[in-house]
Amino acid sequence: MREEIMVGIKQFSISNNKVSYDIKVKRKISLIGGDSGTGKTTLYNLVRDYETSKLSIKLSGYTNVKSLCGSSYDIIRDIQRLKEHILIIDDDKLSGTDINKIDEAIRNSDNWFILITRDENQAFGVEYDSIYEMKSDITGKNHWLEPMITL
Amino acid sequence: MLKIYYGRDAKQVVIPVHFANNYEGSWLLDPLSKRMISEIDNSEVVSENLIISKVLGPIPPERLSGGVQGLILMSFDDIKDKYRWNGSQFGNNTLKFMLEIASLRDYDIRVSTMHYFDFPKDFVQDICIENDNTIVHDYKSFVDYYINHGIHIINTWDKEHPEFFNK
Repeated sequence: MREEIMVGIKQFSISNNKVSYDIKVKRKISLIGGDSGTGKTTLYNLVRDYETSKLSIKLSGYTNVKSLCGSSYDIIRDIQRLKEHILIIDDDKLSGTDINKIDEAIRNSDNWFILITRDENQAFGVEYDSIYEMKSDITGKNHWLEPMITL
Repeated sequence: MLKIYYGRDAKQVVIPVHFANNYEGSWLLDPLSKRMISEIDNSEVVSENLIISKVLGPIPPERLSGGVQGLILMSFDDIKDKYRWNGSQFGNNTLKFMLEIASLRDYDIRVSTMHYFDFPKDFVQDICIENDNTIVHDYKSFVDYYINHGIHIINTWDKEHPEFFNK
């Protein structure tokens, strides 16, 4: 079971000429699930592209954001190496064994995490208000997170 | 038939990687593919290699959502029933199409999942739960199985299969 300590809200906005995201998270681990085709992987790609070309993407707010990719070994190494980041992991890119191998590194890390996953085991220990789905406005271009569960 | 396995599968197909390396442009021109791309990804197929997204503009097939890619692979790829598809890729808005594909094809559609599939509430179709080969017939029996067995299987799967993570 993960310990979730609320240490404040971290917020970032990222955009290119086609889409924008205003992301606000309030706990160490947040999950994004929900329907297909809502822009979850586009967010992941946008953050990854910012790493490659900071002039091409607009990022504001909490700017220590990084999308992790590669093998589980690569991801664990990055989790251990990086400090004070929001790290985005998309299990779309991982094999069946990987997400669980990464779990221990996540628990032992001081970074914050956004996990793009529908895996219910990853939801253990995550507060209900940190399980999100991606929402967008009527144009489909502007995105934000909304909790999937509201009490 | 659609066959669902609650749990992980070391050989399950990583859908975006498999799609990028195996899709055929002609698959996208199939009427069912066009319908799925339209309803799920809000996009229109222009040609084998071009899709117009209402949000992103012109995109290649590789930028379709993982759920749509998975559905297209289920329909056309050579893998057929040899391996399971990674159920984590499929949002609830893909499931009616998953049922449709399973009813149309002459091979089983096999999916492993660690999350609940919220099928349309009016569905009436046989689904095999591969964990114990139980056949459910409709939404009620599917939910009954999930509540009575599926939740427990998912919750305990990692602990009961430590060998899975020692590869």
